[in-house]
Amino acid sequence: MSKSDVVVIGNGLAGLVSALVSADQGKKVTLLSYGAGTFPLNSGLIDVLGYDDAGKTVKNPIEAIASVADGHPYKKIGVDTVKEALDYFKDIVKSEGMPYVGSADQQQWVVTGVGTMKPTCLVPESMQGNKCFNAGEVVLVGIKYLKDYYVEMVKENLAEILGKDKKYSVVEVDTKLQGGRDLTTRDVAVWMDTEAGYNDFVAQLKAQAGSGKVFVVPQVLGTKTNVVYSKIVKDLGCDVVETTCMPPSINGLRLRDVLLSALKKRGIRVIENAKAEDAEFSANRAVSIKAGGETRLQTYEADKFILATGGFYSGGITMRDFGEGKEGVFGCDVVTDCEEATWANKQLFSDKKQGFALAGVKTYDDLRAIRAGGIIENLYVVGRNLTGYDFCFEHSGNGVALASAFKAAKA
Amino acid sequence: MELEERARDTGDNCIACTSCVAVCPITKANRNYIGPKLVGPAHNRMHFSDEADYEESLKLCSNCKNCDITCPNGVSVATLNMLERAKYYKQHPEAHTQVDQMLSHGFDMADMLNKLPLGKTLANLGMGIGKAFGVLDMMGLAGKRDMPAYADTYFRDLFPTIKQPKSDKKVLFFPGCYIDTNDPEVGVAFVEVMNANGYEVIMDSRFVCCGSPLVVGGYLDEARSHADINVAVINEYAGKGIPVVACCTSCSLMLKAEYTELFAQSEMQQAGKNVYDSFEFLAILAEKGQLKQAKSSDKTKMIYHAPCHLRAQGLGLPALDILTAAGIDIVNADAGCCGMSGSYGFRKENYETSMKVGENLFNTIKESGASKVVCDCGTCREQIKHGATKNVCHPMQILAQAYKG
Amino acid sequence: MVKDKATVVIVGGGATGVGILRDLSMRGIDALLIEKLDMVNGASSRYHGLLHSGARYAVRDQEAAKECIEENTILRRIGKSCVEATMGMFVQVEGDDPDFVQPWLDGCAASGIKTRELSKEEAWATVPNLSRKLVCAYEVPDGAIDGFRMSWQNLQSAARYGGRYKTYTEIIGINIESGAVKSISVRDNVTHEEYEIECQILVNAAGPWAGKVAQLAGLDCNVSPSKGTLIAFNQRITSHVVNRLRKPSNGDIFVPHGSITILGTSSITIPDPEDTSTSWDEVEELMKTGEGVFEHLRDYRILRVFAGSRPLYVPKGAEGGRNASRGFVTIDHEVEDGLKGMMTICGGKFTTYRLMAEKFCDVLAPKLNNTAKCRTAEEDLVPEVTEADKKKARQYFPSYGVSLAATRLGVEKFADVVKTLESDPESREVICECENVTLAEIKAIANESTSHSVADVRRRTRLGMGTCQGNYCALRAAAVANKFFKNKLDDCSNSLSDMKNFLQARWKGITPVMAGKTLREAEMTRGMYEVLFNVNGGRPE
Repeated sequence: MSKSDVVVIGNGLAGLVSALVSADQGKKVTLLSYGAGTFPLNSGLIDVLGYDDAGKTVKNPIEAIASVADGHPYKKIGVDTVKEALDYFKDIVKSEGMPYVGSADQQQWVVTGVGTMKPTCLVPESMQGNKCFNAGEVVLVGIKYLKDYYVEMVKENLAEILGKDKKYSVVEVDTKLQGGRDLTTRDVAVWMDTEAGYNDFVAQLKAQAGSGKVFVVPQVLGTKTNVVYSKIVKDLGCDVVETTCMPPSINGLRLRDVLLSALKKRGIRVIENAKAEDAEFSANRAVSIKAGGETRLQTYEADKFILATGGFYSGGITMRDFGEGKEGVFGCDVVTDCEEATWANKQLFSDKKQGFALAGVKTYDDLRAIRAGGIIENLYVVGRNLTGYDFCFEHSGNGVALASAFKAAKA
Repeated sequence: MELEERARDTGDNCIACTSCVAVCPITKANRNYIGPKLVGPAHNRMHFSDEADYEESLKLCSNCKNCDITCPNGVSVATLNMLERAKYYKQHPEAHTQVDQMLSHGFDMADMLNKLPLGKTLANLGMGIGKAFGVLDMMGLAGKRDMPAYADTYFRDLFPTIKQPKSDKKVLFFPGCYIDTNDPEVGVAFVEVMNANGYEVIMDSRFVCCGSPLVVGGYLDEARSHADINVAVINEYAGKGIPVVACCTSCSLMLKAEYTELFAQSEMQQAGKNVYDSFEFLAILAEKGQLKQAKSSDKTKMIYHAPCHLRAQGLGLPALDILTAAGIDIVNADAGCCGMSGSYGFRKENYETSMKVGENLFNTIKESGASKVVCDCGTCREQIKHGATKNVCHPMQILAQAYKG
Repeated sequence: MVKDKATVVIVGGGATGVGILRDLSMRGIDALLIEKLDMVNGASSRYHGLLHSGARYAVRDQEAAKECIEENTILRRIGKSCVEATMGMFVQVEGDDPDFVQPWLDGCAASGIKTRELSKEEAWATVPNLSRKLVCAYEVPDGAIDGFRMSWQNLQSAARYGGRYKTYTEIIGINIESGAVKSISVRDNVTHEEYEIECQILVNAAGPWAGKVAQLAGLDCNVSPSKGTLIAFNQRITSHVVNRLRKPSNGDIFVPHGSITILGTSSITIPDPEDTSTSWDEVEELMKTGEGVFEHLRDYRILRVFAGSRPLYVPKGAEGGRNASRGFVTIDHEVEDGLKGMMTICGGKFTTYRLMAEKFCDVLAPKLNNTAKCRTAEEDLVPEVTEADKKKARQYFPSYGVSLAATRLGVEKFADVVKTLESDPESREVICECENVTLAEIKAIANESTSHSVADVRRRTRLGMGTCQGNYCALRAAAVANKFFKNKLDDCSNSLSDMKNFLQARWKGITPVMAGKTLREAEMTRGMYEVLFNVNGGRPE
């Protein structure tokens, strides 16, 4: 197949954004995908930096980024690029009909599916948990038979955070979707896509609506963009806030659809189910990679490669035996500081970063990959492939993915 | 010899991440299906359980393989589902219905009709009448559909009448049941395209149905015997350096990869390496600079639907690339599964689900303003004819036409 | 304050304790068992779950081997739903000592253990992934036994004869008057209440903690806790128990259990029986040995690692560890130390727990002028759920869920759960999708007085013990179960903390194997609970 300017490997947030930005630079882009690219597990929120190294909430993420430790991806990416990347992202999602709100200099607070709150920077309009702060009454919407969302638990925890000076009430919506498998958030979201489902939902909430109130609902406001959200706030006449949800994350999938649509508009070629397995080099440059199905591999040549195959979950980084971290496509150098005492903390929900989470590909400051101690001049590493940050502890995953992708694609 | 890695063992990779559930078109369309991860991969751990245990809703899985495409961990979800289904039918052969028998063994019926004078004509007539009088419905078939009509002359009978220039470069054509008995024009187009590229097409009458309908029908042992026959032929030609090419993407997936996933035999893996999807083969020629460049003067606006079983092959959309390069005005529908999935949508009980799955594709086609739909899979084409427009053909037919100028 | 009394109080809710409770109750003796945590949290569940045929002891200890095969036969009969009659295999691979085979065969024959030689082809046909370096294989009547279930069924059986038990009740003092035990002081570890229980005889069946209990009476009891580390694999990688045919050592037994396989066991003498931590080295040692039998062992996904401490009794001057006797001892402290009303039972192995209880009670009962005969081998532990009832219930359960639930719950509770499922469609929700546990079953167990946390429910139901290791069911179970607990453990006071604790307990077993496929799952767990749910909770200012 004809040579591309850029081959992006991986279709998570980092991969898709790398492809988009590259295409916007006028490049001919091929994107290789294998699996769903973490979107079914992804909140679809752009966390930039929620917590500092001591586990304290960061008030102003962009300010805090300036002082992250050496080796942290943000240090390499730089403050300005992070800002530009966020703006770019906001433009893209807006043009695709799913606008996000927020900025890099303050946290947005999102209500989680268990009723805690989490700090993030960019949120889709439907998930502005901040709206709970000024409400006099929080109406928690439960859905009869819905699995993975327990409205009493959400109420208990949210009331604990938001305080006793508000009123909290619970209303249960009956979707009448009985029979068949256990009811999932996605089933309800699909139901909400239908006119009948939507009308029924609104009718059951209408009586509770009123000024000074905010509805907190599970992530069921339709499977696509923010169409249902825009309609429902008008029809109810008060604020509605979606929580995060147990995978499959509806908002993650909404974001995926939106980005894939943007990819399509740019004529980016997507090769599905093509596992990248091997690369060819000429001196310090990658010439091509081999990817494909079980039976045979195809060769994909390019001037530039962007590695966005993810971390351990996605299989971008593997470690079969202790200490033997591997990046499977290019054989890049991987940092795995595999000391028994620090590799995994005794506590799952720890007060410090997990050693294994910091594992990733070594790069230079411009995100170009290091292999056998030397540079690969045309290979850039983005997203969870990178070493030096714990996206779970910091709440920085999508921020790093987005900003590193932006930087790599612009380079 | 048995391979170390069987599809069964890929089930061990499942960490229940739910990606497959998120994209499964059947899960979305039908609330009775519990979803891919909860059948094959989950129950794969339950070998110890008693025989009566079976997931009823597994019958809703269409084996479309979107779960496999989505899995980040390389789990052969759909194949695990098919293995579980097969295990059930092995223990409960009485559970097979007449429709199962018929839809899984279409090749038998087709062979029989071919031997009867006017057999196919009368059968086509009969299906039309059957549809009108609700007989198909009573039999358990989707009565709202037209059953695919038999061709007057099967490809196997047509092929010897085609005059081909002799060549040292040969490919062995695996027509598959649908092209052979229902849509032989695709085969003819394939021969024309290969001839134009300096290849001579040969056939081998020992080939039997790839077995895909047998697998989804739960007739795994029969599928295995089909696999053994086909694999022996493929490997025989591999020895002569002659590749095997199929125009049907479900056949090519079966021959290339599914045999090995299902039966874990090393000769199957070896055979798979000698099998190509037709446009994959052409794309490889193109890459080597050996593909005859087509220049189409056709100004028809077309839309392309990629069959799921092509997408699962991990080789991109070679037909779309080649037709685009030929100057055809064609866009990718990119609208998911058509819902037909081989014999799945022909079942009465699946009809509604099948149409619901295809809805997005139908709408995309209708809204595209294209006047022709192009798709590599025969049963997808049947579904598109039924749900969107009659004007559907195989990309090979477009390319053959383009070569003619 | 005296709040309770019983003729006999048994300390320790492991197999030994519950066996004694059942035995005494069936003899008509009023007995109460107390356990400081949840039932069966020590070595009785933290072991490989092998129902010995005795073949493992055939060379070194034929008396133990004979006991094993006899008890094996009895347990298969009285505890059908706890035993998987898998059969076992003893195999040698290249490099194993061929001279060990004949004495072993002789030992088996002498102990009454049937062996059958398998051809290599037969062995591979039965267990396809056995090493290609196989030299020889013999079939023996080993099986798998579920320690949790067996123990709970003993309790249920005892309860039918008036036996009582209290969990989270820890002995903190032994009150002696005129050279005899008069009562014990206990603490309720849920409510923190302290009170006394009067008794005539105190039975110390605390396993590796027996030394600590004895100390409360100022006595010495030389128990050497020996830690055994085990690995649980995600799949049933073998249909048979597989033993290495050689002198027993670490990492040479694979036992299939339900959907998983357990590889064990190491043997390390430890000072503190509470220490169930495991290290990379221990795991590596087990894996290395295990690879001898299953060459591709490292390609299978490990669910978790766990450890338990065995109560090895060491007579003064003898050595501990693997070479300590697996036999048991009965200590009558009246005879040994001049303290009336206290007896200790120590050592032994799970397979012979019933026999140990029988022998022990044969000594104890006469002290109470009770001459009843032991009947524990004659009666089934619990009545079985009938096939007809299972068939009827099938429509309400997830597929693959009925038989599992029936064996877990026993006949009465199963009937209750089925009734709930019938009347309340919501209760059919599958909370644990890996092990097929419904909401109805969770509710039924959560409502029991012995449930104080989701972890307690887990031990009864296998909730969260499958593929996803609690990733999906932790939230569900905590949200639905926590509200049913009448008293809650301190660190499980609401659903959020209960959920976190539950996941933390799973984490403990995961960290020692944080490599390979486990890393994938660990990253997912954190992505879900830290990023999506921010379970530590943020406080906006």
